Amino acid sequence: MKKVFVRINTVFYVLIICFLGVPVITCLQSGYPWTLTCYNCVLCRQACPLGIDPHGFIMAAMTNDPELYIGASNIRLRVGEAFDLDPQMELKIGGGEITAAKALEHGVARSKEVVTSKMRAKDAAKYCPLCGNCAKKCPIKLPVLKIIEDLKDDGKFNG
Amino acid sequence: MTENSTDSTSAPGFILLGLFLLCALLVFMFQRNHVPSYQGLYPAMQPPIEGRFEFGPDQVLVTLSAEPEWKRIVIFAYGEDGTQFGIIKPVYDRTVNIMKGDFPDFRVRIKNGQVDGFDILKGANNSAEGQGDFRNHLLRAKESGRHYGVQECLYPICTRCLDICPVISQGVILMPVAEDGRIYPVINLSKCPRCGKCFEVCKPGIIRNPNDSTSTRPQSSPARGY
Repeated sequence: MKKVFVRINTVFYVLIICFLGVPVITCLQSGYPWTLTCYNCVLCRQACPLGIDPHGFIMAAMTNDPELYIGASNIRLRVGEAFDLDPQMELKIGGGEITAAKALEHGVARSKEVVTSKMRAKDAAKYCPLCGNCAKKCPIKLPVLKIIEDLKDDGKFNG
Repeated sequence: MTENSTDSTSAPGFILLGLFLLCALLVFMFQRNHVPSYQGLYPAMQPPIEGRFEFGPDQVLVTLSAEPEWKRIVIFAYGEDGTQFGIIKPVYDRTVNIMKGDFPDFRVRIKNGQVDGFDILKGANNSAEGQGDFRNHLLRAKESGRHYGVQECLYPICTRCLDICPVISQGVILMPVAEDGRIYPVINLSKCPRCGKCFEVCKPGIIRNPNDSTSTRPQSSPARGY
């Protein structure tokens, strides 16, 4: 009986180590291993005048996924522009949130200016003014701008 | 004889040492802080974009004199207490449309003609609705004769040029509030070390490389000196 418990414990330890090892591997692949040190204090979230969540860029780098959808609650753009960029981009229209593709299906004009809700990290990087206000707020001085500048170029992590 | 020769050789040594100490004292008293000099380029300044406002019943249409490099521009309007409310709007064909439901993005506190601080009004938490419609801010500023207009510089939210300037402590880059209410950088050329860092980090393209010919504006002017 004791041997069975030891085996179960061993299996679970291996699973936990594998689970914890995934972000370590992905952040090394993206070239931003320091992203693991972010403890999501959310101080940077209130710093962006365009409402972009800088923690989203860190998560995208940690998971090595530039297509991760991140919060971008205050970028104004036309529906047509949003659709051309990413049909699945979430927009705030009429008090609700709807994707750009569905907005056009529902007859919203392409030239209507709307506010975004969520967009891919690589798209959000294109709109970021690189003002650095988020990096200034970070209590452990993580260089978030490096990720954004990296994504701005070609939408990929080249860290 | 031996004593006399010793005196004659030690006297010039004391004189030289005294002269050296005097020189060192003078240098210490009149020394100036070391300013590194670089054989680079003086930054060029983009001429400010002007905006023509047309107030309609439902919207305010702003026509710009030039296309901003960032494809976005700050529209500002001053409140009763002298604070500057700003909104970052996209520019399509040199026009900006301010509609009902556009809330201000930030508020700049100004004291004695200088920037005193700022607040982000609409961050990721969507808490700006209490700050009122920006179109109303514009209308009230127009009716009360307060300043309103357009500007490209994101100061004081963005301070990258000030942060990167190696001699900023000597007041090389200043951010005064102009007479028309806009905030626009002024560079003191006489103290500029020409390192080129400021135009490398200025993403709205106000401070720019003088050799960069990609500008869509008619001409860049040299930085204002004083």
